[in-house]
Amino acid sequence: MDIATLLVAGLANGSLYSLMALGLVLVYKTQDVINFAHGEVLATGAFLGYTLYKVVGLPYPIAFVVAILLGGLLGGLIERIAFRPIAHHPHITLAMVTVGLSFALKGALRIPYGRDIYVFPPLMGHTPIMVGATAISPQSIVTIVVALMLAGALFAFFAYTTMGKQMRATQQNITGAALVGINTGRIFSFTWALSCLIGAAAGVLAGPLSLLYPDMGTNYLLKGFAAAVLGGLESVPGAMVAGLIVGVIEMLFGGLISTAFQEVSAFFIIIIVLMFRPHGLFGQKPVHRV
Amino acid sequence: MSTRRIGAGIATLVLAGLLATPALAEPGVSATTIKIGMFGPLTGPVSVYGYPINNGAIAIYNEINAKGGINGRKLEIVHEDGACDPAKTRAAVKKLISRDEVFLIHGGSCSAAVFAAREEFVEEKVPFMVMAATMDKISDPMDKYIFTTTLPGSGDGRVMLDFIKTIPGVKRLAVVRNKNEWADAKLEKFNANYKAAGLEVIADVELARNATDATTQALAVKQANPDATLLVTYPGESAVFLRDALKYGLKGPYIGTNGIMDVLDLKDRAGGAEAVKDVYVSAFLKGPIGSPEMKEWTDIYVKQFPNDKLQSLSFYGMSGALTVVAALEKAGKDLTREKFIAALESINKGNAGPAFCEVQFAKDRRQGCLDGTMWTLSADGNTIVNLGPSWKKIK
Repeated sequence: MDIATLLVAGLANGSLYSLMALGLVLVYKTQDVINFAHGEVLATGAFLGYTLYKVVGLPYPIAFVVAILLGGLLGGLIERIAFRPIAHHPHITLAMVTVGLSFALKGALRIPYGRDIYVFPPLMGHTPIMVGATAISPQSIVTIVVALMLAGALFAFFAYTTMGKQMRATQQNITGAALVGINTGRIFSFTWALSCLIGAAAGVLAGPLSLLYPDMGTNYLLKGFAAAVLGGLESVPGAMVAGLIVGVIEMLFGGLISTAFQEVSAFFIIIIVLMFRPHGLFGQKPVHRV
Repeated sequence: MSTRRIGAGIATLVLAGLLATPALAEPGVSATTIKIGMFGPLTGPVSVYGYPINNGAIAIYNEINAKGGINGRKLEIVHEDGACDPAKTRAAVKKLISRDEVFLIHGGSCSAAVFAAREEFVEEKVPFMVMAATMDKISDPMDKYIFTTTLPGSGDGRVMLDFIKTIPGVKRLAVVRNKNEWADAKLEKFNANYKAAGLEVIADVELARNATDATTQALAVKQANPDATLLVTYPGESAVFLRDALKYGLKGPYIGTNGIMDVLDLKDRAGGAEAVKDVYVSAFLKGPIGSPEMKEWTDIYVKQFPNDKLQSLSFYGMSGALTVVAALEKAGKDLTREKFIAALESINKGNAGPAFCEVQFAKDRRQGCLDGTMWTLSADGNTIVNLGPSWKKIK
């Protein structure tokens, strides 16, 4: 079987898992909570992209940008309305709110879109580009390139902008950040906005690969979560790399060993990795004060 | 008044009461209504299929009510959600039987969930008409109270196998399948008989439910280089596989189950006519949506559910509903479950509405529809062509 074709397809899927993992890691680093509604954020992004591109008729790049900005706005609103009032409650409470949010978003999507399945056309058609014997899907290239650009922009944002530095400070020590005058409430809002913006971007990119329906995010959430855990849960570079690893592992496993175990292969590898590195590939071993 | 006289009076009253209301003693039957329990996946991902399937049956029942009901009684539908989950479905059936006290139950689109609830019908002796679930084990071995007018999985497998035998030059097959009881049911008879038909399965490839990528499956089939590929996958995965098969240069023909009989819908999902141009699917409807054969049933559905998107699923529940109505009429005004069962057993060449078959039950037969046909897309990719049981070249 053509390994190069498998690798490209794995990297394309892995790019989406990476974006999902990034969104999860951002919220987890800031508020110590796993956002179980992140799959629905992806679905919302996909439907927003579909509506702007297919229904409103905007060009794809503009539809993409507007959809992810709206996704970001949704994230900010979620934090302000649903999480800010209970920000200091136990983490389990916050996690349960994300579960409720997942159902609420799914229900909200069913109001305008009903129970039909929608088709998001690919940006560049289905005909593959042949490089020797390797078939490369144009949509895969778009997915990989856009995901890498987003990840690069995110790293630059954290490294070079004041807001990015404030977010990192808040993630390291909320009390300390507040003491030096950082508006942590604003940081929470911005973190959620950024997380949902990335989730929405994953949705618009996943749309042409998948089919659109309100439950479409569940599988991506699972794979994204697996990547986040593999990467170290608090590591942004780890999330990015681990997502790609998950995508490639499942493609190689399915292609070279058995399609029957393709879906569980990544989880199997993750279990083995975590047995030896419980804090993930890029996570830091927790240090306890004695 | 003596104790003996009081006792005699009470006994007389009880006896009079029993004699006065014999027709109303049957659960779910009143002077003006017959309660029909209906369940299906109304929440969760599979509700995408659950609503249109149930709505087809509801449209028939509403139409009957609009015409005055059956023997002076209106049909009252009681809905429960099984969410395509075995435990929830069994609980839903229990509730319909025990709390709602329905006369009969017509429902079930998910095979495993319906099979999990099977014992409830058997133990409680409640007549059950399967809505759309295709697993053979639901109705075979037969039970007195369980009937189906849906083409069972084994029938679907037989229709596909008979068709494959007629395709020139096809000897080596690849199978792309979901790993679940639905696919197992379709493949059971197929697997038992393909060797006798001179065929060989050279690749058996699994595609996960809700898969969004079929690269490995398409490459595995391409590497095996079969003469034809059998698709035993749900519509979403079938579309993903066909899309990726086209992407990686895999050639047909592809033979699909009646789960993807709406080939026009499959075309949209797979990204265009090119992906489905050599796809042949088993079908148990008389004709595709929009064909003259379906007009009567389309009108009934659209009248009741004008805002629904019309799809093949919209007609799945109609044959069962029409059969239930026919048996209720035949059972007469003095309705009992035993009379209803006897009426069902006596149905011969019954009206299956939009379904391809004529309904045939007997004392020892509970699978009422065993006939199917094969569909494909026209050469321009815009209409569905009914091929009948054998392969033909599409011009």
